[in-house]
Amino acid sequence: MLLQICEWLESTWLAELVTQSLYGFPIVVAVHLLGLGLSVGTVIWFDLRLLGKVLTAAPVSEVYRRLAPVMMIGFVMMFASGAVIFVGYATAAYNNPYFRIKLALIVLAGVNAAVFHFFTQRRLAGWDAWSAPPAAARAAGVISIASWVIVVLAGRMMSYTMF
Amino acid sequence: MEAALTWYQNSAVASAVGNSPTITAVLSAFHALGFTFVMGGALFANLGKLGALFPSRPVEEMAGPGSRLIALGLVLSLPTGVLLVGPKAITAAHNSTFQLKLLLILAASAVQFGLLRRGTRAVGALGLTLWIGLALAACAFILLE
Repeated sequence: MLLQICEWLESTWLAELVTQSLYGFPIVVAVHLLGLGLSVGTVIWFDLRLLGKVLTAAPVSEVYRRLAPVMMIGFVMMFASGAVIFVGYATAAYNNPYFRIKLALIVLAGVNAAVFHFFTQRRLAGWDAWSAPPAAARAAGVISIASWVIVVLAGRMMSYTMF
Repeated sequence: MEAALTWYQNSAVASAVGNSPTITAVLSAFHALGFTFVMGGALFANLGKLGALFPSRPVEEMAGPGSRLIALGLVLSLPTGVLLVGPKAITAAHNSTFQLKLLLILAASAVQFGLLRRGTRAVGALGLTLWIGLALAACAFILLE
């Protein structure tokens, strides 16, 4: 079923644009890399604040508020370009073990962010200004950094083992 | 220079990298991770210097950690980059985009580690411009490779 969807995706005009045009693929990859730098390069600072390693005198909520715009622009660039690349090479990606690792870790990072948002952050008012946030927040920071580091590594491994 | 490049391109290390897709993939993975750290550090340190991220916080709270993350990124990306370029060292050395990339690494590092702590906001703007230029040159190198 999933494989059939992948095959259909590869028959679309978008897939043709990515795979057939001279500069289509490299341009999308370049946008993907810039998005990666902006998103993961920024989210790491929020994670380090959760770990009590940087900006310890600034409230956690302020750190998030200030970093969020850059982070969001980066994630939109990264996910949109990533989706376009996937459309072009869906079947090869589907069969690639590094793609599966990357996808699993993106899901883990997403679940981690959701758990932080819906549970840990609910009691934020109590520890917002703490230089060293509580264990649950620190755990969210560690999981986030580890997830994104593996996503970056698996993503690059994938591009060398897929074609 | 040409002789050194020829020696390096024909060396056992460059051959090992060129003949092994796995080694190339692993090197490239850590090169990309280093790039991510450099970008993250550059944004944090230089936007901090410009007062665009945390205007109420002292600049040192961003410049110090930002520069340290850049240093970690360079420790990862420079050696892996040197190894990755081995199999095509001569071609790369004559590629103007690659030359620009090297020049930007030197200039951005000089501004970041030499001037940022003492400099004014203009230094932050210059640093940010150079690091973004480097990221664009890196992408252009992929485009034109």
